[in-house]
Amino acid sequence: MTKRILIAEDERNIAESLRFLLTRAGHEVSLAADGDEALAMLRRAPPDALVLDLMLPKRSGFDILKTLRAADETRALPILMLTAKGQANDRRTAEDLGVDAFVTKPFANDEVVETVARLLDGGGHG
Amino acid sequence: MASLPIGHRIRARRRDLGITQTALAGTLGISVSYVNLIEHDKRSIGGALLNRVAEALDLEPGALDGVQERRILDELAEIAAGSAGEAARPRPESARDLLARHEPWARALLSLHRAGIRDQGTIAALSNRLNQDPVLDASVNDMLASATAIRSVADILADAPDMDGVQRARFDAILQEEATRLSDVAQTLARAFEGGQTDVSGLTAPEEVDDFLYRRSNHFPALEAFAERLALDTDIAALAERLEARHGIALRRTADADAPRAPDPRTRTLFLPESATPATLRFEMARRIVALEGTDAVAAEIGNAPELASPAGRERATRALTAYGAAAIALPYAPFHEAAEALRYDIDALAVRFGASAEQLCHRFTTLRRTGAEGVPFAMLRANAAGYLTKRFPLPRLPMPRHGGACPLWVVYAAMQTPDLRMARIAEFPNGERFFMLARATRPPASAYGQTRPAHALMLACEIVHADRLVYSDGLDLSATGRADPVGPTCLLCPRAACTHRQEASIRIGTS
Repeated sequence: MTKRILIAEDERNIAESLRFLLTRAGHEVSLAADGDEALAMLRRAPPDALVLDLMLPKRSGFDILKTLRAADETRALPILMLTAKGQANDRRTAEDLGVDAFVTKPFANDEVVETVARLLDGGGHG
Repeated sequence: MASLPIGHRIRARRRDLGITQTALAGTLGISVSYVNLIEHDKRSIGGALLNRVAEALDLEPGALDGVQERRILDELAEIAAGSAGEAARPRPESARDLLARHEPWARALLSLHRAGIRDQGTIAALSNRLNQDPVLDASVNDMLASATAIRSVADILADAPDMDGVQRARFDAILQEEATRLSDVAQTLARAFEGGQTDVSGLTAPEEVDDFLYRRSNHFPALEAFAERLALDTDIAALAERLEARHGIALRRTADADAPRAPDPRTRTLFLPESATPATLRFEMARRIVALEGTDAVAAEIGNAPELASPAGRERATRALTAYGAAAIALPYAPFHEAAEALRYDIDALAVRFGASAEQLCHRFTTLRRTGAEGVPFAMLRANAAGYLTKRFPLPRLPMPRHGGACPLWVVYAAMQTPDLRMARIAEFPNGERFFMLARATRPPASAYGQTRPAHALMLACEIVHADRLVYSDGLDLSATGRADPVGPTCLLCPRAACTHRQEASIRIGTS
């Protein structure tokens, strides 16, 4: 069944390649290029899963994650976080804030597609 | 005040004008020998005679006021104070002789000194640049982003031979664009390192220890385990009893506030100043216990740490970890972490509960990085009244300068203006990242009349996402649109061109 995925990523070439990959995997994909746009889109039409870049303009990925986990309607939204800084501290902070999965750039395409599939199937950490 | 050596200037000017000592003496109505004494600074002159000398030598009245000489003497005194080794240090009064008798040498010395300071600044800038330069940071991010796009698109193209022409052309264009971007980033990096043959590898011992603590997130499990195994009663009397019973070391209070904080090996007595607070006493005794019983744990942590390249660095790290162990004894991890979270890092409340000082508590906060029981990740720094950073523990995204001061707009400096008042601020950096900063300035307690007690300020900082875990953020707007102070890292690294508080030029303006 088609699922709706929101990709919040300011690097438009990465966003485009993610859009291609997730569309090819059978999902309906929309893009947000900064933190404010992502939050507005999330509120307007909550997707089935979110692919969230950490370093977004206007509002960081951490900030969005925290906002989403504080609201009842998005508390359980599956979220995959992407970061160009695979530092242990970032991962820990993201986990503290309730992220479901974490992928470090540069990623392998299959890793992203498979992780999103796993999250949509209800699999969290691991 | 000693008179200023202006005789050399009188002599030089007289010679330039081709006037003999006898002729000058005649004009001034004084003896030739008196002129000779004046020119050799054996007599100081002022008032009417000074004005007459200036007039006779066709000089501006202020030309012999000694201001230039005063400046040179002050700088020579600075050089003397900074020279290595007590024995070899020049006497301050000899600077006056040097200036009077060998002015060109004195000036040459000053030129060298200034060149040395300038070079030190260059080295500090390069070292800062290597350690925490935003240009590097941004470049690495750009490279990773390009590499991600290239890798992903190349895999897509390889994976999908039947892709339609329009889509394929689009992905080809992305590859082209990202390859160009990657080459631009490489050029930016090359420019940033232009002239990069400068040797900045000579880290000092404190810098080695800084790196060592930072790379281990300031958390040392072997020392935590050691403290937990001991599970000491941290009552002062109990600690004293352990030192006495196990190690034969007696504790004595002394009026000498500067008593060495290691036991006298002959008398096996640990002298601690009468002025020491209970928190300091407890900490010093715990430190002694670690030094005597925890050497294996300290050695295990230091191991073969690559950061600690010099013997001085390892020795300094040993002292730092001994103090760490003392904190782990006085503020045991599990109960302290639990209380810190429950009391929302309220320093006063925790001070009451654990009998520790604010500085001890703030230090301990930075060590709460145990997997599965982590506290708020804090950066910490301490600044003295002159603005220098005397202790620093940075966070990955909150770099702190190793040399000189930080941005003058950081709340740690504002706290100096109102000692004892805890100030909380939200600081926004040029890249848009926000941090919560909490600072307070204190003066050491007086133990006798007439002591100089310069204040120092202590600051904690954390990423804004953690700020709601702190009692100090109550009432502040922590949202992305809330009010925040626009700050920078240091002037040197700050791109805010319009900032009116700039103290030195930025390497980030006009270089990109």
